[in-house]
Amino acid sequence: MIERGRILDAASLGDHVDRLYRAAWALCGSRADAEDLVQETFARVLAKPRRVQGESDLAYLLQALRNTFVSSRRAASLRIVAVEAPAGFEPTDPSGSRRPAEALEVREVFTLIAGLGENFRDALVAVDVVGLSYGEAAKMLGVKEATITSRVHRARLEVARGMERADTGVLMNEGRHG
Amino acid sequence: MDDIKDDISLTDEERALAERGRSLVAAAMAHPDAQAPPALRESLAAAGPAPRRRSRLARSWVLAPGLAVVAAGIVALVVALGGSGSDRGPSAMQVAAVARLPASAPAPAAIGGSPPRLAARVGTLAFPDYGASYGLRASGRRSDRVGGRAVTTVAYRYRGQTTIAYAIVAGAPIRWGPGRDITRGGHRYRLSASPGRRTVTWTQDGHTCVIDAPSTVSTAQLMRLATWT
Repeated sequence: MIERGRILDAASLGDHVDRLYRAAWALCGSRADAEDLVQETFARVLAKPRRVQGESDLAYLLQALRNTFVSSRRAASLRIVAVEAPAGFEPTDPSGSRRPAEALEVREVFTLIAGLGENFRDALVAVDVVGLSYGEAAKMLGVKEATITSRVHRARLEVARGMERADTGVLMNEGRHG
Repeated sequence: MDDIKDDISLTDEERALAERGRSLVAAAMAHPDAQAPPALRESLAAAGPAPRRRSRLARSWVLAPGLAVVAAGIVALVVALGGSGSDRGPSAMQVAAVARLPASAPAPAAIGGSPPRLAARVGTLAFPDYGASYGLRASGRRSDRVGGRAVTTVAYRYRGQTTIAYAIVAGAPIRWGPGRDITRGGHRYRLSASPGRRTVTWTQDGHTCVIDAPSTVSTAQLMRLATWT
């Protein structure tokens, strides 16, 4: 029997913006690129009615985000690279109360995730960043649940090791902050 | 921790470290900085759930480098010849091509106000002082004639590196050229792109404004500058 699925509720997309933004940041390693990636993903998803086959809306959107990321990276490899500094600009923190070290650590975590091997990164993004179950992540990525479990653990391990290196100033010296 | 115990390929030390990694990621995800910026939410809300075509912005990025170089050369030639000769003056892309040229005069001084402005204007429209809000400092200016129109440009720099050009075209609104539209506060803005660059064009006080930035500046960031008041 052919599963017809259901139509994605476009009106509910706004409920997932935060999670998708975090996923995009973790994929790109840059907040500016993350914003663009989320916008482009939404533009693609909204271009026509979408049929969801069994998975949750969030899993569908993460898959769409990941596809958009992959295709945009492929396109980027064809275009002329801007010579300007990679840093965008961010508005001055209006609250003034956030601890810079804490914000820096958050950036480091995202940078580390973005720098993981693709398989580990995708598993971590699906489970720890977006909050999919291991089963949902396995279905989305087309692997066994046990494989996801292993990859997530390895990815967490790498993030922890990366943060340990960062504590000794390794990341700062390499200028890897986005 | 239960699922970690199930992974026999990790040593005890690695399991502990993996658990620390899990906590670090969880803390980062819960941090306010990991929330979607308001500008992004606004952009998505403005886009709305209505069906629309895939953006030309994205499609333009797949231009082959060789083709892009040829296209840039053609734009430069048209600009050098003084535009298309249309009654509506130059196109926004021609203005952007001129705006990104090096500044030929010192930066206008900040004159304060609310919102803060610079001592440079076209008609009643003064250039913004983004310094306090975004850390963008005016770094120079230039005046040109493109397609028979006076174009005044102020260049801004961020951290002494990323350069953003804000151009105002005197006279009636000009052609915007291809791109995708975003509506903010009832006003329409057109986003377009060329290899390595992003441009936003809009009409304000009867003049055409064009901001040209490297593509490392996101669309949302570009819109913050365009809608800044």
